[in-house]
Amino acid sequence: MKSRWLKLLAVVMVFSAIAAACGSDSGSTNTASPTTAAPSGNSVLAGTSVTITGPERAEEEAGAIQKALDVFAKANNMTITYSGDVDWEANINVQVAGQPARHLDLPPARQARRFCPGR
Amino acid sequence: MGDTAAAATAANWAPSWTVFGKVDGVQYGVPVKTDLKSLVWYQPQRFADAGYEVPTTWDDLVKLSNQMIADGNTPWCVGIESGQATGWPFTDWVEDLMLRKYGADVYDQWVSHEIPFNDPRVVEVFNMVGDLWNTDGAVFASGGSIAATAFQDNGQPLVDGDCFMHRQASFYAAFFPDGTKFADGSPEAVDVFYFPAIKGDKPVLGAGTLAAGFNDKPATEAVLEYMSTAAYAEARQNAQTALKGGGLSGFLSAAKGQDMSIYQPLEKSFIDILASADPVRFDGSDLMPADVGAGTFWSEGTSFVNGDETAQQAADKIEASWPAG
Repeated sequence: MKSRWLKLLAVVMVFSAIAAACGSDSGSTNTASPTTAAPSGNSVLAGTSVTITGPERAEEEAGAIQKALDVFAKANNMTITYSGDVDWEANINVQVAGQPARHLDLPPARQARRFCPGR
Repeated sequence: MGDTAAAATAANWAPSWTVFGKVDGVQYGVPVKTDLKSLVWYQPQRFADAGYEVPTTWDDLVKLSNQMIADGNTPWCVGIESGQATGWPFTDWVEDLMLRKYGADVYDQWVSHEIPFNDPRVVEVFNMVGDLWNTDGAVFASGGSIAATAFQDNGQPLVDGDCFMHRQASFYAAFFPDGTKFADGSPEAVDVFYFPAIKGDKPVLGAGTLAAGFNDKPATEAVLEYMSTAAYAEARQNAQTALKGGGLSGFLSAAKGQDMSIYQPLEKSFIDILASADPVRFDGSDLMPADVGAGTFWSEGTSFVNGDETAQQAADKIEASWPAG
């Protein structure tokens, strides 16, 4: 499993230079197998931080999201911070237009495409 | 997202789920949480005691409903009151039956307004729901009427024996009384069966959450990729179960390759249904413009349920409310 993940990481590094932030056509690249283990040991990720925002804010849900992300963060020596927002749907436009969150949970894909002019 | 996260998403999720995050062939979102709506809650022991079998077709479900009435039992608990959102449980019934009776293509055309909301097929499905609910003796509504009964208030009467069935989503476990046992084989246990199909396929109405990236940094891409995996789903399930103090977590994922031993028996039932579902479609009212999906579909649907409007009148009004453009 680890070797499979390392293979995926290699693909990450190749494509990160050219991938658009707002999506890419996956039609010709679907060659990976299901990944069931938490990936680890990627030096590219060490010291990085990622912020995620979403509508889940109840302690059980938001806490579980953070703990699940911490598994990956710890394995890669990075920081991932999840924050739930009671007004998430109203605030997301501001966040994207102002100081963007780097990830966000969202309702269906068309809402994501709203933030991707030119696609 | 980049190609790597898109490829991982395609590898870790069935196409019926990845499509929710795809527009014009481009993957914008990673599925991270799944809700299953095509469920009927019931108590297996009460079915067995009365000699009823779980229906596997829509015709059998209607026959069972009528048999229960003939036996002096009440088949359904139904309540669609939900404050400002009153009516949404009715829309779920309509969506589930549109998908069953007319298939995914027509469902998609209806949701995207390629066919009008007052298409005769939609009106027919409104009436299918209405005919089932309006049959004398078919519904127990603790609030006095379906529209006045809170959607949350159907778990208690089901375990009290006021009705035999309640159609509602996987999250509804939270609305049964404290201490309710789920799918543990005990006489009072509550379980679910799949809301039957009409045409021999296995359509599922679902909902869920997606994650998307807003930059192309390797860290963002890697986290998105991780969120598509069974490893993320398992970690979140374990954490959420622990934070809820055991029992049902309220989390559900259809990611491939998960360790099923971390799920409760009822949660396994949900995942079994998800794994064999085809086609899967997202909650239609969530996809329609808010004026309709979070507006007139709820309100005019409620007027129809109350008998204040015919199905045709309600559908006509909803169609008239669809935003131009």
